[in-house]
Amino acid sequence: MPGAPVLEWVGRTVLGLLEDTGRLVRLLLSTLRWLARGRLEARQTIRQMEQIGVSSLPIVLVTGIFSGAVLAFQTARQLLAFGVPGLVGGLVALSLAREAAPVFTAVATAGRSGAGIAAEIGTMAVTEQLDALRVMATNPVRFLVVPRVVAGLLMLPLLTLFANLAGLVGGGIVAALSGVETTTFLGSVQRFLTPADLTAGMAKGAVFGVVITLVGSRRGLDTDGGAAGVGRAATAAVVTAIILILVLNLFLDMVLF
Amino acid sequence: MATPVIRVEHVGKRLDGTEVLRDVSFQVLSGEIFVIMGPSGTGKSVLLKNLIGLLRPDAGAIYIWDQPVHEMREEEFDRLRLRMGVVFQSTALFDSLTVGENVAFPMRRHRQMSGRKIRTEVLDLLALVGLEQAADQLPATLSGGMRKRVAIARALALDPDLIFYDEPTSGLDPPTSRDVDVLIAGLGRELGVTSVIVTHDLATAFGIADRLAVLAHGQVLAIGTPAEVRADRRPEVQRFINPGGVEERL
Repeated sequence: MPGAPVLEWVGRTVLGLLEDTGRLVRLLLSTLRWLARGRLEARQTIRQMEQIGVSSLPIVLVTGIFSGAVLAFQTARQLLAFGVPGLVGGLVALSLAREAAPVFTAVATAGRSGAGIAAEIGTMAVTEQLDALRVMATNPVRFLVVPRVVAGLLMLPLLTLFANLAGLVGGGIVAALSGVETTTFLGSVQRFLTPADLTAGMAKGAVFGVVITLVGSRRGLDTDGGAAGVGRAATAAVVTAIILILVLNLFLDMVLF
Repeated sequence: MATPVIRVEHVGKRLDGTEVLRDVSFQVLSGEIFVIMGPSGTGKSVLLKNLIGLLRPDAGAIYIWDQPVHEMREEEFDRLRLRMGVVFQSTALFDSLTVGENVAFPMRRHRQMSGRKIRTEVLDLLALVGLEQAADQLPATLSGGMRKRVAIARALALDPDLIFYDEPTSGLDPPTSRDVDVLIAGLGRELGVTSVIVTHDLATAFGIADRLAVLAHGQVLAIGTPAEVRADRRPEVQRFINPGGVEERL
């Protein structure tokens, strides 16, 4: 049958996706079980908050500044042509708070921390360090995954907030260069941006934080095949996380706005 | 007569459709050094993983201190693991931690001890393996033999009654291998710890074993003291324990 190879490929891909999703959900449930028991590794969690949060701040700020700058550049050009400079700040702020800040922050963090998590846990997997944890009566999910997921959950909203602030700075500067006065820009921001927009964006960040750390951990735990396997795990962690972020972003938009 | 610490009864295990272990049975007695030997790829490491709970057998039963570990949940097994130490083939030291932190790791997790007390015990353990000066170094800066010694010190951290060694001399030069053998044998005799060693190194097997089992194609071919196994004239046993030199085979 001529279509058979295509059907076979589709079937294999769908089965693979379902299996991946199942493994991810199982890891999420296992993480939640440890959390429900109140078994949080405080020292590890703080270390991960520093790794995922503080260390990601520079790239998030750069991403935020240029996102805001581009948004301001595009909107200022259009709106000045229509003679409504008073909408520029509001449009930039709303676009940042609802979409650009959470999504770009998550994508940048997936590239930086998601890959790092997969590579670190993956290296532990191929060098028997995960087995060593288990035989020392230390559950790898509790010791490695839970602190990362909690750190992602807590730090991504904060990073999103910083991306918003950086975006407004970048947007304000470009708007000013384009001919929108700073007081007009800030007044517009105040008029249009509500706390609900900011918190909804931060809530998205929290979901994305869980996705990035969970996917990175899953890929790391499943790593085999030596150094090449670690490389594959890191790449797969970034690709999977970014796809999930973009898909989930649509559903979160439907729910939140 | 010494009591059995481990009882392996008719254990079978398949991996990816291939039968790796078939009807494996033996006992390890309290305080003895028991060596599981055999050529590479014969199921030794899979057997070890079944003993330490990283894999579960498909058939048969494994009892450690009379506890049926083959059917234990992970958390129940963890209680037994606090009385065990494991030295991995690759050492499995945490490369982001110093030597001292590696040895301290099990103590920090499972003992209520002050930082000072842990430091003292870590230095004592490192002294036992001749590495007290390396406490603040990272594992990557040590030689293969030194890393094995650190791994042994970490395995001793919770004062175990039973230690498993997976290929403790693999990747080491012959003199260093014998140093590690001497260390393992010394610890077994001095501390009264029961030791289970998986190896393909004949010098280790016949040098330090109280009893040994020869494993081939996933089955136990022979079991007994080194003298008894040497005296076993069956060709499949002799082929492994007396492979002959290259010149004889050319």
